[in-house]
Amino acid sequence: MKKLDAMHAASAYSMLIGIVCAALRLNIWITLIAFIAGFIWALRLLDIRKYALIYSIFLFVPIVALFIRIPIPAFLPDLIRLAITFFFWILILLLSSYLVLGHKKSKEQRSRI
Amino acid sequence: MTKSSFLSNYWSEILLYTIAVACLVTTAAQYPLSTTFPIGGDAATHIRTVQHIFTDPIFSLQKIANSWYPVAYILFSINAIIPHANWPIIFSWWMTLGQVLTGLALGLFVYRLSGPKASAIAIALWAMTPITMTSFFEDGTMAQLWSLPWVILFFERMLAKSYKGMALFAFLALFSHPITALVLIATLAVSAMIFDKRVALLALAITAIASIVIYFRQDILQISSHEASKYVPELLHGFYLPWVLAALYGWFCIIKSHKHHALLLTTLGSFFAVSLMLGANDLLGIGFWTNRLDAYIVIFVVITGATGVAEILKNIQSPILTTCIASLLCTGLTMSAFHDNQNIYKRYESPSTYSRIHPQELESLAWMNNNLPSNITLFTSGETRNYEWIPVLTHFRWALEKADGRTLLQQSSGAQNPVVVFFTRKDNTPDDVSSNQAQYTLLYKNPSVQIYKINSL
Repeated sequence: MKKLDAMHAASAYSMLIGIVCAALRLNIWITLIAFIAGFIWALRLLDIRKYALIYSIFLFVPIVALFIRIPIPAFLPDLIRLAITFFFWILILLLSSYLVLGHKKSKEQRSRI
Repeated sequence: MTKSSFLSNYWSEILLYTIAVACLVTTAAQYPLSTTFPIGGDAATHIRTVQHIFTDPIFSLQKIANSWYPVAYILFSINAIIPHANWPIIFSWWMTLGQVLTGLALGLFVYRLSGPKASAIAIALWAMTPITMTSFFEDGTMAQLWSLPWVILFFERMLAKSYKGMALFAFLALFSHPITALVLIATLAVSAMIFDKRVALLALAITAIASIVIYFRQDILQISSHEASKYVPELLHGFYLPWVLAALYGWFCIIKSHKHHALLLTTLGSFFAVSLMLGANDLLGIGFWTNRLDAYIVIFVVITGATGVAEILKNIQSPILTTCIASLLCTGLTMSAFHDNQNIYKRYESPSTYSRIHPQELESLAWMNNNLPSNITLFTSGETRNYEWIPVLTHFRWALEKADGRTLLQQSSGAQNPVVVFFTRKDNTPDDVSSNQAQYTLLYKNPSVQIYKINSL
């Protein structure tokens, strides 16, 4: 138990160093390395693999959207372009959630059998 | 938990709450205390809609009912109870109250979601947002600011599984501001589609109907602006980055502690997806109203960031150390935001920047009230939004017209005692007005304003 507490504390300190470095606007690499190291360790300690997979989709789909531009003709009005982009990414979000939820459902059904 | 550790936790939480609320009130009250007049073009419109609610209730209620922000206006109209109300001052303090209420609503939701420490941190995180992360004070967008507490309380009621409360706060949010309504509807639609594929088909049908409506009401499509968000860079690699990092961890902590509340997690997740893509739509290649759409992603980061920081501090397992770190982080960053805002407010106050109505324009309005008969009609162009203060600060009839000499004479021909006003910092007096003394008599002049009486043809 004590070992687990120490591991929690170590990951927390690592993330905290990352947060404080970001707050003080120190080197971005120190920030990211310290935070990500602590973050990955903390995720292992949280032990929520099953749920993390489902709900991470909500984080990762919109973040990925920021890096990929869908080619939409520029002559279309802004509101239409916004609607098309939204439609596309929400569709991706839905499909990936159905995929993960469907996968989870079938695993549960198998385990019941 | 031993008695001493319980007490130490208790006092550390009280201390954190005190610091957080102090930070919230400080940055919110800084706005009315540092400015002598509201900034932003919308303030005059909001005041004009509600200021005669008791003297001309039917006309005011009609205006409120036909507006986009009925709930926000009804709440704002309560201020008409104040005798001899100074509306510009009241407006600034009402904005402050909206900012504080949003912070407290966040505190309440995060308290229920992640406990008292996270709640105090959430209040402090929201305290850092005015000007630096949101544009409510700068733009005078009172209705949007006053719609945020209802969205947050909607999620709080969802967590408490109170469906009546959810319905109430959804109603308040939907009729407070159309952007908030859009975000809430989109969030609920995405969440519902994930829960049930039949709802997804229904959503497709609604999209088809919306497309038909847009086809027939093409004026909606004229709304456009190409702006890069001022605030999203602050989230991704600036002032708010620490809390975005903490938000990642916070999200997983929320998943762990509420893993059986699928509705809440799906709705919060959908809220994140919708608000990030709306707030950062310039990064998606569009740039549509980004500065008005960022507040929702800030709210998500506050909720999850506060949870993340509180969990990280809990794992350090020293109440005194955690309180010290949290207090120093919150006060340090709030003071930094306070200092930055101080410079911005000073800039707005400077008459040379012309960011708000100029003191000489206010002087001219006071002169009009004291020296012009009450039955005159004031004509102005729409060159500057400062003209919108005329019906708020004077009791004259105001007509917005294209103000070149020839058209003015035609437009004012039926009006009683027509007078034309030029705020010359933005709207120069046309030559055919200033040089035509037979038809335009100069009544008042200062370096920023010229007022002419229009003589009948």
